[in-house]
Amino acid sequence: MSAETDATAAGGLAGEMEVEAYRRLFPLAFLERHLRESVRPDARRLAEARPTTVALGAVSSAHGSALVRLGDTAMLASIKLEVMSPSAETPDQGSVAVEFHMPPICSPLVRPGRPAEAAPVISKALEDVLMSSGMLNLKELCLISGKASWVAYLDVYCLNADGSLFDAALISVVAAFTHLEIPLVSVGDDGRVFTVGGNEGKTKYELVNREKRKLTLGDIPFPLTCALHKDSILADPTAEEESIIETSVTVVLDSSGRLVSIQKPGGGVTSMATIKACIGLAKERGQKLKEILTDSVEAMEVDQAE
Amino acid sequence: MMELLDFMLSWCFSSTQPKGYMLCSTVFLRRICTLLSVSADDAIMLLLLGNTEVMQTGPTTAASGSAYAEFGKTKVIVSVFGPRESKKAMLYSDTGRLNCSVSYTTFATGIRGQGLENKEYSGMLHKALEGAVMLHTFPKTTVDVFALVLESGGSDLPIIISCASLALADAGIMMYDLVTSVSVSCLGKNVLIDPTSDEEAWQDGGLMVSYMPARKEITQLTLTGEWTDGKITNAVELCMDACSKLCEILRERLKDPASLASE
Repeated sequence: MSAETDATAAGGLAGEMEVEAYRRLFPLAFLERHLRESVRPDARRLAEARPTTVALGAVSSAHGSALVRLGDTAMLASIKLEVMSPSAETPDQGSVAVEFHMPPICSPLVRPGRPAEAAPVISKALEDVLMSSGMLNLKELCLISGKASWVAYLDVYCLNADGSLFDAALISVVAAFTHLEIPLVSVGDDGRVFTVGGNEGKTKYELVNREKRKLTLGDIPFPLTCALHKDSILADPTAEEESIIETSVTVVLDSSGRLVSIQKPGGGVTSMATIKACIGLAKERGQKLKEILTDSVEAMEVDQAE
Repeated sequence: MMELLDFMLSWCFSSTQPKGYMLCSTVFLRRICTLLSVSADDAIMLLLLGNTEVMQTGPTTAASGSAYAEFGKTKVIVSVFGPRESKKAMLYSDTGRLNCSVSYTTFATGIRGQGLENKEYSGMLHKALEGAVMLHTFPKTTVDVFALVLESGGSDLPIIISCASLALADAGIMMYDLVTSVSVSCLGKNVLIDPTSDEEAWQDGGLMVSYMPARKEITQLTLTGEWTDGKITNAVELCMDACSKLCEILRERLKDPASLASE
């Protein structure tokens, strides 16, 4: 009896080992066999994105922060505000400095002292989307026209890289801006602007920004990356899928359904119909992300009320 | 008196409390101890109990092993990669190499930083761990230990060291024993265990001990500032005792990481 169970256990283990070996040795064949059955190696449907969670206020030392998990990909965005004098061309506007970091903890491919190649690319893409989407009104970051304005240092850290980094990064950026609370400031006798903390300070000093502690966000951009393989469109690819499939399309739509950006960084050629299908998927995904974001804001408010 | 203390403690650590209470518990406990004028040693043990917030394995799936630690405000992630091919064209070596790197996020401290590698802590982490890792079990290859401090709230280095040894164990790297590390600050007559950044800023002297409890061996000891003879001996013993207790917690986590994730 026991010998029999042992035998089946060993057989099962051998079977598992073979699949794992097949996966490592013939990654493309392994993926294609899944796609033929319209399923992904992680048991998702082709057009299905991974489960996404948003936690607001993950970093207490920042003015706004959010931790986003997209499957196993984890992204931590944080915003710190500093007072600066605005540039001469735009005296009534603040500014945003975007930086995307891939520390060596996030992936075996990144080593200290040798920054990841993907990091500056994603950094630039984030900045472009953020500035062109019209989500932020930079005038709201102005304190005293021509004298003082906020510069928002936006730092996004990838804590675990498992594909679709840009998507996770943009969601975390949007979430961090919804969480952002602008600190109270006052002007001293010497003309310097300083932040005021605590209830005592609120009555003691004349405040510049009593209202407008939250930014009014315009149309929020929501991203979806699709990997393209032959006729299949794989939404929200994992790192494993990204390494096998060369072509991908990243679509960013805003909350009104307007197109903010499409990126197809090289790889194989693709048809217009495929790109249209990707836009369709991005539209559905945008709706879901909007719900997730609203839920996270509510969850945080409940937390605070308690 | 002790009944009141017991009640307060159970309130602080009951699992039904939301995390916010857990986070404020250190400050809170310290206040109780002053109120009840508990002797320094007792108070210190209590504080340690109160400060062990969250330690868990496996936040970074891309790594061979990883661990996350949250002690009060201090939040640290450590990933371990390897044993893998050595980075540079290094000479042949019969023993493996241990490569450590500690960096801070730009928002870890109150003033926005550069997010560069902290070379001093990288070296200290390496020295604290090299005595514990069985380097001969992975000849010609390197094990990389990378730490990222998400938020700095005091006692950063000892937390990084403890977290790194948990991550090494999670990665299945052979070690003689888990290394745990605890620091104390000397403030006037008081010895405070696991100090916060403010306490560290005002301390007269600091002591950090990295310890292998099962082997009863110290891998690293740093002493800074002003100390008196008797106090040093007491403080070292205190740290060693705290390290042993911390090690038990680490062992529990390694045995059953799933239970913590579901909490």
